Formats: sequence, structure tokens, C-alpha cells
Amino acid sequence: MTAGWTAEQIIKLAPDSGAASAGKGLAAKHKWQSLGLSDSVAWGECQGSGKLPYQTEIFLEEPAFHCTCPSRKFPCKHSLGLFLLLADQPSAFSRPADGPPEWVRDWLEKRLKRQEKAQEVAAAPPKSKSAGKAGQAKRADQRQAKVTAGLADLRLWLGDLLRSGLAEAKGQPYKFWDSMAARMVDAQAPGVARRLREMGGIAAGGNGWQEELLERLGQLHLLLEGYRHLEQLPAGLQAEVRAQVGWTQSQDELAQEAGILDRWLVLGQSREEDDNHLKMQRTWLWGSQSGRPAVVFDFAYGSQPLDSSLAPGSSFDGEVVYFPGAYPLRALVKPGARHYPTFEDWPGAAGCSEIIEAYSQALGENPWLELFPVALSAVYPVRSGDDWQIRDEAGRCLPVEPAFPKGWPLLALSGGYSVGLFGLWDGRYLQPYSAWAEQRFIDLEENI
Amino acid sequence: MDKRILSNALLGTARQPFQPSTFSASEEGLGDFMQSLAGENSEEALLGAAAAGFLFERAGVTLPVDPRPLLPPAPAEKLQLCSARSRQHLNRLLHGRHSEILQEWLAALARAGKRLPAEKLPEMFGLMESQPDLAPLIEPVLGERGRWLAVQNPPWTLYAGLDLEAARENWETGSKASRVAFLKRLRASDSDQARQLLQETWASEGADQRAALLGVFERNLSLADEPFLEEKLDDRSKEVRRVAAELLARLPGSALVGRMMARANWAIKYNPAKKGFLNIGLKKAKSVFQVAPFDTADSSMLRDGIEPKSGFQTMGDKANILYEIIAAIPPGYWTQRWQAQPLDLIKEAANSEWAGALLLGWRHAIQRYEAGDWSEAFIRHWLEMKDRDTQPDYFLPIYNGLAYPQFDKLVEKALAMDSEPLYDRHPATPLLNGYKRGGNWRPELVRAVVKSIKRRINSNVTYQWKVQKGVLHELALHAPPNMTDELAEGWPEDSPNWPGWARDVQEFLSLLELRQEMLKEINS
Repeated sequence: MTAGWTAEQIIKLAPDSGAASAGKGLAAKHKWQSLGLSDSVAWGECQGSGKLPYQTEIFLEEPAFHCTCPSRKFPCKHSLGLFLLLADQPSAFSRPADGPPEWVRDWLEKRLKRQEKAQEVAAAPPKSKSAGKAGQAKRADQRQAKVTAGLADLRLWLGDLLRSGLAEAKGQPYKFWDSMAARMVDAQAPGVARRLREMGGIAAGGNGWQEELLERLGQLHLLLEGYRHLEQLPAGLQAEVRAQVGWTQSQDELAQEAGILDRWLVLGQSREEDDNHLKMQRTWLWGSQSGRPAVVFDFAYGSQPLDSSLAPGSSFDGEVVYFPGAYPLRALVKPGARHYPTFEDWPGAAGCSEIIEAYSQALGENPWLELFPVALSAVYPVRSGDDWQIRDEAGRCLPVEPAFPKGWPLLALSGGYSVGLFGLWDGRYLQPYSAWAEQRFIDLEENI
Repeated sequence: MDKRILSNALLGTARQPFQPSTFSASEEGLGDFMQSLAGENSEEALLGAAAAGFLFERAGVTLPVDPRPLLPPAPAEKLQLCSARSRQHLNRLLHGRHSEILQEWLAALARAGKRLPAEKLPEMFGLMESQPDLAPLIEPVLGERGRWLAVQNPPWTLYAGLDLEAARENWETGSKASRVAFLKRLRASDSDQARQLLQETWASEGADQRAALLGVFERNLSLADEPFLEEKLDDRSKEVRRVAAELLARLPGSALVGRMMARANWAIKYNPAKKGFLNIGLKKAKSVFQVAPFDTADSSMLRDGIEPKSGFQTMGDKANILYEIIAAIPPGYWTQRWQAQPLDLIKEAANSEWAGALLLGWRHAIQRYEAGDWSEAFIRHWLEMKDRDTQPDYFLPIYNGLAYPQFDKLVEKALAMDSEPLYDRHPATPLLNGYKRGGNWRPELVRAVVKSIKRRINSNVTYQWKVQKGVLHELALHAPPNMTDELAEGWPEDSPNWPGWARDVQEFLSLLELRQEMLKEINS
């Protein structure tokens, strides 16, 4: 497991572009005083501005990093440089017969101990907080009451809006939507507040706003109705409604639940940053046995790094726990997974019709479903006018989002032969994330 | 979305109450559902209908069917695909804009009989369009996949390696840039056919298009083109006339060059001092060059592209006419005619009152005709000058056509002339920075330069921009890659000056290492 990570995957691990380019600069043999490698760990010593060289080590199975440099960035430039050098020139690393030097062994031991401890903690039953329990229950009741009152107000507001009509609502300033959204924040229903703000944006927009706004209003109506009849709904849908309204699920609690053991393939990743420097990462997984998709969210603020353990194109043996909901997608990965830099077999359906069938089934379970993960095993990118389509053997096509920038590279990879494809279907367009051609994974979000 | 629901929502239920009962139960789609729609009021029924309608639409979408047959797949490859690591090297070269190293990489790939990774092909086609010089290097490594892909996109068709008939459609209908690229390509394989093709459409081409298309004649220019080009000297577009004159001025044996020679012979006389004379006294008395300039450019000169007004601040109109005449004549003509060495001619010209016109004219002609022996003479002359830094620009080194062994000797000479280690104003510095021809330099030369730089770091001077950013970079591009390990050794890291150099030296070593690695990977 020493090779296999590609430079592109490694660069993605960088917390920011500064660390990435500094890391590239350090991916040169002459920057390192020593370089070593064993089956599970790579290490090196790099002279920095300090008196002693920095000691950098990478545990390759996760991968996990450690470096003695004072940088607060993680992984630091030395770790990235060492990893890039390993991907680029494994021959530069010596393989001492007596294994890693002492400082590397020390770190490995410490790491192992830490991990054992974490597993013990995770396995331990949650501490009883009998004192806190009553208070917690009281706070939960208070919130329930607030949400119920808030959503009742919203129902009236929505009725007024429909009575006067969408055309009139379009004439309203953004404040019209925003103040109702603020009211929902006060009512502790942040999911509903987000929907209202988005509607404000749609109402202010051009072309096609009517349909888009009415669809969102319809979805909001369904959500209010669902909440009003919460007790009568099946458990999954109840959880979905609560999540849509804005109740959060404790990840620690969730991690206690049994998950689905599988070889999970990491098929795509997107990162966004909002105006407040909140970074959000979505990583799309696919269970190779279960055939189930999942998405893992990760958030980080400012210069904090996002989780880098799930690199597109890699895979892991591990346990994934879904957040409760209708047609569950959001999930978390339990600690202790064993990672591999690649995988061998591409999953998915052969035909586009199967995708739509699965999509309508999913919509039936969760009417608020926005993005539907799609894996296709044997399709062809084809050009249609200025746009691209993904067609199956029978000729049926999923239209690709307009202005998709990687159409030509994808066609080049296909060469007229079928390829595997992963993407997100929003009901109208497919947004391709990754492909499988020439027996290898291609991350279409990357600069390929 | 059902129009009735949408318009009802736009209008508002106050003005038009929503009545699900207007949907007939027998209606296709949601008619049935609408009947059963419960809502406490008209608004809620409308929202419920909308929500159901949109879900129905999404779930029931019918996918378009492409009636076309699938594309015939790309033929089996004859070349081996480059490795994953080579792919990463290519990414680095493209991303870091290391264009010179990219050329080296492409050439090595072709030599090794390997091909480009498929996903990079579109970007490489883009490069061929924006940097036509790269095209001959990229084409051999396109592979079957590349030629297959080229057929799929009309602007790329000419790289498809088909007979050019297939690409010819693009000649008739393609964009301006792709037509120029096509003609350029045809010019390389069949220059006569390219000329005939352009002759056919000439009358219908726009003026700027005519000039751009004519420009491709630069490739494989021969006397067969002359009648066509000569005719274009009378074109109604000034730009076309300029391009035609420029081309004819690069065509030894053309009538235009002959006319320029006749003019030069009329205007310039060369009377070298005979051996045995006291040179110094004679020169002062009488210049070796005797020049009778033309006062104005007559109509035949104008036709041959000579500008009547000088574009140089330091040169008058008369000198300019002289300069343009000389610039069109192969420099070898003078050495033959006057039975003199280039260096002697340059020395004498430098002493003449027409130095600017003569030397600038020759320099331009050296560029046009790639006259390496004259480049060498210019550099020798410059090296021998006193106060090199304060002399006019037309004495500066010029490199066109200069072969590597000549360059190597000149650098050695320059290094020997100033025993100081390299600094910005050392005579060897501009030579090392100016010679841009690809290929590796002799190891001994590289060692000598590196040794000199190390001495410089140990001595105490200010920042040497041209050495640190220039010479080190050129060394990284031209040192033989197998010297990488050797060159990484022995840098004076303890010197107090080291911090000012460390970055540039490391950049030099990194580039060199990249070259070594990428070549090793291709050949493994």
C-alpha cells in the first residue's frame, strides 16, 4: 500500500492553495535529508527555518499525517511534500531492513494507543445524565412548542400569499421573504428559514421564476402538512420532516448505531464556501455490495481544514451509518475504516430508464429530494448541439447540465467505447462528477 | 406543469378561487388525484395540486432518445499509453506553464513511441491552435484516439491525419482561425496545392483574411511561390502588400531580392585598406564604406515594401531606405561580393557614418536568413568592444542561426575575458540568457557556469537579477538531466549571502529534477 495515491488526490488533501503550492515545492528529493519507507509508513527529515530538521511521517493506510513543524495547517506543507514525492519518485525512498527509525515508531505507537482509547470511548455506553435528562426534555418541549407556533403562522402567511397571487409576490422586496425567514429562525425552524430565503432569491430572478417559485411553495406546503400530521407518519418520514424543519441529529449518538458494512467507493466530492467563510464539503459514496449511495457532509470555518480522509477515486472497508429520514442519503463514516487508494469495479445501472425509475421511487419516498446520486455502468457521452448528453446502448439520454466544461475530455476518454459515470440528477439535468474509463477513475471536478 | 394551476397561482385565489373539480377524473395524469384533493381552503388545495403536479412531472419524465447510431469507436492503438506518473508530469508542465520543458517532454514521448493520455487531448488541440509551433511535436503523440477525437470537432479535423479532402470542407465553411490552420497544414505537406487553393478563393477573401492566409506561405517558401507573391505586391490592401514583400524578402533568388541588390550596389561601395598600408591614418582620411543614399523612395521601392518614412528615432528617412534595402539581402551576398569576413565588415561598418543603417540592416537580414556565421561575428565584435554597456543597441549579441558549438566557444571566451565570477554585467551573462535554442549544453560548460555562480555566492555583492532569475533558469532548461545529482551538491549554504540565493538555486534544482524524472519515466 505504498503507491497508488496520485498527485491529484494528494493535492486535494491540502487545507488551502498556499499549502498545496508549498507542498509541491517540497516534493523534491534535494529538500529532504532522509527519506524512508516501510509497508505502512513513509517518513522524511526536512530542514526548515528551525535548528533541527522537521520530522514528517505519513501513516499510509488512512492516510494520517504527523510533522514536528509548528504550522497550524493540517496536513502541513512538509506532509504534503513528502506524500507528493512518494507518489512521484518512490525510488527516492530507502527501505531500511530494520524498519522505521525510533521517532517514527514512537509516533506509530502513540497513534495506536490514541485510537484504542477512542474506540473504547465510542464503545462505552453513553454516560447517564439523569440530572440533565429532565432539563433536556423540558428544552425539547419548549422547542416543539415554538416550532409549532411558528409554522402555524407561516401557514397563514402562505395562504395570504396564494390569495394575492405569485405575480404580486414577485413585486415584493426581498425583505418580505427575509423577515418571514427571520421569524422562522426565531421559531427554531432554520430549515424552513433557508427555504424562504431561497424563494426570495427565485422571486427576484428572471426566466422561469414562476414555475420554480410555485414548486418551492408546493414543497413548503407539503412540509407544513407533514409537520401538522407528524404523528400519523411512518418513522422514516417523521425523521425526514423533522430534519427538513431544522432539527439536527447528534452525530455522537448516531455513531453508536450499527451501520452498513461494505466496501464503499468514493465517487465524488464538492466543496463550497459561503460569504461567511463557512466551508462545506459533500462526499458521495457508493456501497459496492449494497448498491446504496450515501453522502457525507463536512463543515469547516475559515482556515480550518475540511476532512481529507475520503479522496475521490479511493475506497474503504468500513461502517456507514445513515441519518434517519425518508430515502436516507446523508450518512457518517464510523472510525476505524481501512482505506485503499483505488478500487477495481465500477458500480451502477446499465440503462438511463432504470435511473429514472429509481428516481421516481425515491421521490415517492421523499418528496423533498433535491439531488439524486446516479451511477451508470456503460454509457456514452454524446454531443447534441452545443450541449452534452449521456446515452445508453438503447439510445435513451440523460441531458447533461448546460455549459458542462468537461464534455470533450470525457468524449476523449470514451473514444466511442462505453464508460462508467457518476453524477447527480436534479430532475432535469445530470451533473457528472466522475467517470471510469481505461480501467481507472477520473475525477471530472479536478483539473483533468 | 399544468397551465391552469400555474396561472391560478399567479393570479391569486382571491381573484380566482381554485376548483379541483374542474379537473375531470378521466383526464390523463393527475385528474384522478385532483378529485380527491382535500384542502381546508382554496389556497391549500392549490398548493397541494402544485406539489403533486411537480412531483408527477419529475417522476414521469420521458427521456429523449437519440436516433443516431453510436459513433464507430476509435481504432486500436499502435502506440503505448504514457504512464500515470507521466500524466502527472504533463499536468505539472501545463499547470506551471513550463513551455520549454513541455517541448522536451513531447519530443521524448514521441521518441519512446508513447502517446498522450486521452483526457488531455482536447487541451492539446487547444495548444496546437494557440501555439502552432507545438503542433509538429504534439501530432506524433496523438495516437489513434487523438485522430478519432479530431474528427468529432470541425476545428480539429485537420489533425485527424486523414487525407486532406476530409478537412477541405472546413476550408470552405470553417472559422477564420481554423482556415488559416488548415492552409498552414496543407502548406507543410503540399505547398503547391495550398497555393492553388488560395488562388481559387483569393478574390472572395476579405482583406485581413487575405493577409493572414498569405502569411502561411512562410512555411516551405520557394521560388514556385514567387509569381503569385510578386502579383500581390500590387494588391489593393496595404497589409497584403506588406506580407508579400516580407515573404519575397526572405526568398533568396527572388526578383525582389535582385532589385534590392541592384539598389544596394548603386548606393554602397566598399574599399578596404590594402595590406601594408598604415590603417589608422587611412581610416581617418576616408571611410572604407562609401554610401550614396537615395533621397526618397521611388515608386518601385514603394512597391517592394520599402517605407518612405523612418520608424526609428535614431535614423532619418534616407538611412531608413538604406536599412530596408540591406535587410532584404542574404548576408552571405556581401561576404561573397566583397571577399571579406563578416567580422571585418562589421568592424568597418561600425566606423562609418552609416553605421546604424548598415548594422541594423544586417541584423534584420540575419533574422530573415538565419545566418549563423554573421550572428557569431556580431557577438565576437560585441565581446571585443570597450564600454559594451554604453554602446548603441545595434551592437548587441544576436543569436539567429547560431549553432551550439559556436555558442559554446563564445561563452568560453566570454568567461575567460572577465575572471570575476558571474554577475549581471559580466559579458557571459547576456550570452547565457540570450541563446534560447533547445537542447542540452556541454557538461563542462554547465560545470564552469555553476562553479562561477557558487563563487559569486561566496563573494559579497548585491542581488544579481540576471544571473539569479536568468542564468539559473537557462541552466535548469539546458543542463543534461543526468547531471542533476552532481549539480545538487556543494552549494555554499553557509555563506552569509546564501539566503538571497537559496530560493533561486532551489527552483533551479527542482526544475532540473523534474526534467530528469519525467524523462526517466517516459523511458522506463
